[in-house]
Amino acid sequence: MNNVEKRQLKRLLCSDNFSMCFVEIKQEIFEATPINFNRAGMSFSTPSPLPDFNQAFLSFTYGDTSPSRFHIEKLLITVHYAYELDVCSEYKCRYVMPDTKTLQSLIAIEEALSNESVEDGMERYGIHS
Amino acid sequence: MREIIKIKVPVDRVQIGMFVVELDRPWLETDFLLQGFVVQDEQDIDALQKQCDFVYVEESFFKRLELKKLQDSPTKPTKISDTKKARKKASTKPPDPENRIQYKNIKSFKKEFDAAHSVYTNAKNLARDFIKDVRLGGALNLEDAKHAVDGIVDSLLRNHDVLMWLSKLKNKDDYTAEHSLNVCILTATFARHLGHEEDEVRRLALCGLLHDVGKSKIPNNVLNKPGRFTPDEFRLMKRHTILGRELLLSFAKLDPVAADVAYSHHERIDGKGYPRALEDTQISYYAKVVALADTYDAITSHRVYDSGRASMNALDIIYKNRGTQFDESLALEFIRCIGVYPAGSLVEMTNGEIGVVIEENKSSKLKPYVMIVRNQEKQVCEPNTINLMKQPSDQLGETYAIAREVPDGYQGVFLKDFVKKGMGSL
Repeated sequence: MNNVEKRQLKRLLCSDNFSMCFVEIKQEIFEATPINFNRAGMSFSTPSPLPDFNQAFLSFTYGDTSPSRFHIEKLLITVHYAYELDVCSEYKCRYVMPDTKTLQSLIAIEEALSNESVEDGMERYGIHS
Repeated sequence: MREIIKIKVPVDRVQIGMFVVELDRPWLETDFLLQGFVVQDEQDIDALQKQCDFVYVEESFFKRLELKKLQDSPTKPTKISDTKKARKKASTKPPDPENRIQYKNIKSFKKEFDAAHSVYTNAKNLARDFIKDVRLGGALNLEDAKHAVDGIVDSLLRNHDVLMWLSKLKNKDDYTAEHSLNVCILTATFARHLGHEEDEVRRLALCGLLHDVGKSKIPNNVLNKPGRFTPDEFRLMKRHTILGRELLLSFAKLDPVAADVAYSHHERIDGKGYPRALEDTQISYYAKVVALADTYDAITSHRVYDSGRASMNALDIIYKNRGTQFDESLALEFIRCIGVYPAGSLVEMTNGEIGVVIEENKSSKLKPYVMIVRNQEKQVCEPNTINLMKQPSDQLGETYAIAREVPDGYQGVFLKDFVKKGMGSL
């Protein structure tokens, strides 16, 4: 997938089906809140800035019951964008060459997330306008 | 970070001026609405004596030895004042639905624009001056601050879209002053949305204006650093909460709620905030409200080193951090208040035209009034305002709607250019 194709992917809002999201940087583990997701990357927030990093490992779970439950373990990511503020920090990360099985899981998660969210304005947040 | 030293004092030894940081029982079992306050009058002492046996007060207000004397001396009853003057009640939640005030825009966007722009410009100058004055060791002019807040609230009670629109004009070189003013506007807009009484809207707006006043005490080279903070610099930045509280407590006439907000607006309901890592129930309602406005404006603002994020990006972060960083129901109300396309958003339409959101439609925030300023070929066109509630169609008969929000400056469209030209004349 080239960069243009990556940019064309929808930035889906992570649902409450995401859990156990952790970032490992130089063997230190930090809890993160998943914000947006697609098959090419994820953005997440943390209460404080993370240590400086170019590459890290991301782990998270999507779904709660099999077969729609996926666990992604130590997926290598690179920081595409870091936005560090006194209110919170946000990191937009891209996955680095996931293996075939992981890529299939990422695509399945993207499809499941697309189906569960109504990407229509206020409905994005489950707030009827 | 400085540690607060607490000293236990029997309630009959409490004096005006002491800062009560803890009670002998949970705050929720009492009718004190702020979890930590300065004893201001006999009524405060009376209330403490009726509900507690002893309290903990902050050491820094007094010499340690004098307090020791107070602690060790035998209990001696003091006369309880029978004054019945009303305490200014603090809110603990938004008004119940049946008590909410339904505000309506009583002036059109165009008619309010010039007045709001003048109020905005004056308030921005004032915010810039008070940050500069405090930085140079001068005093904060509270009367001027209250006057500016009154101007802001009066304007947004007439039409709240104009100030929301103006708050979208971000200038990367003037961040701290602009942010203080924008948080004031957003807080007041949110308080209006929640249906608070006018007095409470003004009270919250003042808290918003002063929430970051402690940043005036942070060295400029750290405050405006073009890049990421070192851990030490970040620790220093976090001190703005403590510095702001100390600064505001020095004003006897200032509503103590403002000092509480300056102190607590970075607390999180999961207890992972700063400076005190308070639990949900220990954080005041005012601090929870201002925290949302603060976060939204911080994420959408330009900095010396970066451009601001889109409104939806900020709302996504607030939504995903509801129940951990933010009070859940307040976060959802804030998202309802702002809407996906707030006034001042630059949007691309489904047919490729570009427009500026001028005003919301109360019945559907997805269908605001949009002023089209670029045609399908992205060329300058005669401004034309469209009401999306009327479900207009494009030239091909297709449903015409907003496709996405685009950043300020997209295809050469800059919000500030419309202010220069004078929106009222369009």
